[in-house]
Amino acid sequence: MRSNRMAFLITALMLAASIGAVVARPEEKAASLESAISLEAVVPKHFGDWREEPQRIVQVVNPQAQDLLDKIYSETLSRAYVNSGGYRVMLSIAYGSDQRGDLRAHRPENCYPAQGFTLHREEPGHLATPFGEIPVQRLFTSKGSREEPVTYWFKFGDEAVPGDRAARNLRKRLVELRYNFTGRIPDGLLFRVSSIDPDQVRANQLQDQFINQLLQAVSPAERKRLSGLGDS
Amino acid sequence: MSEILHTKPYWRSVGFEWLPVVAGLLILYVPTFYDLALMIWLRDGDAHGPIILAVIVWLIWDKRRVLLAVPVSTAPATGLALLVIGLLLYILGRSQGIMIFQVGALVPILAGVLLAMRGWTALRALWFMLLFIVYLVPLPGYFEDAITLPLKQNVSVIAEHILYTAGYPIAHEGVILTVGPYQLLVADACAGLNSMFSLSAIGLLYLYLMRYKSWLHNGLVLASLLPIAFCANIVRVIILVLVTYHFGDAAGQGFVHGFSGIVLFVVALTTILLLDAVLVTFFKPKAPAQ
Repeated sequence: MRSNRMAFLITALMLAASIGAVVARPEEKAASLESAISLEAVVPKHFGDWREEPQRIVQVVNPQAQDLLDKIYSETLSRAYVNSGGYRVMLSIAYGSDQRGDLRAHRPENCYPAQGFTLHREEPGHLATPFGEIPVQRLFTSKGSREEPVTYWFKFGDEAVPGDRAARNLRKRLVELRYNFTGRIPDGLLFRVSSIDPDQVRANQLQDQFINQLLQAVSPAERKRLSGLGDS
Repeated sequence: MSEILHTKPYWRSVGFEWLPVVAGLLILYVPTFYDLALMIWLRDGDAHGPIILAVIVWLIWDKRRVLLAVPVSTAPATGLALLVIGLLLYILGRSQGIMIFQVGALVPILAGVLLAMRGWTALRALWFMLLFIVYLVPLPGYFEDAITLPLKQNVSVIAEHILYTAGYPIAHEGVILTVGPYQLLVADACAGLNSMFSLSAIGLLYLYLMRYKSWLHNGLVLASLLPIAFCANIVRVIILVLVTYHFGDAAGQGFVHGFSGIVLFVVALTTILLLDAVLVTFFKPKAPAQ
């Protein structure tokens, strides 16, 4: 083949690929389809046996870390609640409207050790609620004398994905594929509850109770957005 | 010489046939590099991207005689196959926003173009350029996370040990160093992953340009790149801790913080060049006249 013809063939292939990439691109973020989620408004300050405890210590935020957080998460919420018995639970929710590639949420398994915590145990679990089961991940971490059991789940697209790494990656891929076929970009929500308590069993029980009461206090649509449970 | 040139069409002797190919490449990759520039190159510590790109362009320019020469024998089938594989990878990466596929696809695309237009000679002449594209590929997030955290922990621990031995009141918790009244967070950028990345790129380029014959010589320099980058990074963290301890938080986070990055680079590069200078005396060709 004459090399000028070859050049035009190559160029034609490149143009086709360029157009193909544009056509195949999902443009809508799932979040923009629904009304924007406002965590501050969605999560009540008082529900069941729990009420918000104004944070006494102002957390020192590292500006660099904050900048990255703002990029990954569209919205974050961090609150402490106490129940009538004076038991304190820390709630942290992070929502990101685009969970592809570099913009995905960080796993608590990585975040806690980075803050100087030791990760003693991590195990997948099932949290029973009246609306169905949530696949959660239970962590037991400590830093010095502070022992902190954590319960968290990660909602990817419209369902909570398993905490176990391999199962989660597979599940995420499937959700991602399903979203791509409908031309949407999956969003993500990290729901994390922890308490400072050396007794992991008690901590998990109270955390489960906290989550249950919270999910009962919000509207079905918001429950779906937070946990993936029920029909929106 | 001029007679040979005149025997073929004018457009070929100046390489006009490359124009559509270059245009196609620009259409494919200007949007990608625009995204890269906004998403990644502006990030702290990822500024090496544009320099790598410039080096790649220069590496191609450096071989322009091979590219402009009349092809002796081309490999159209292999070339087009590689090109199509690359373009499919590109479509996947571009539509799903996966940078590693988008940028990585440049290797099969360019290799395919070279084979189809100029054959194996051109591919052999430009192998280093293709290899260097790897440095353009942004590291996938999970990979970065997996490497950065242990790196940060190690940097913190070693910096703490050295300073503690030197008599400073220092302790570390995870990646937070406490020195006297100050707390320093060893941030991702301080982990040195990016400096390792760019230093190994510079090291490779240096070896390519020096064209040492001895594999042992090349291997030794290559093997020393990452340890040197790691040590230089510890030096950087120690400098920052000392500046903060003696001159306060503002000093440590201000001008010195940015400047220490340059110091890191200079220290590491100097070490590599010194090592190479020593190696050169060992591997000196015995009879250069032959």
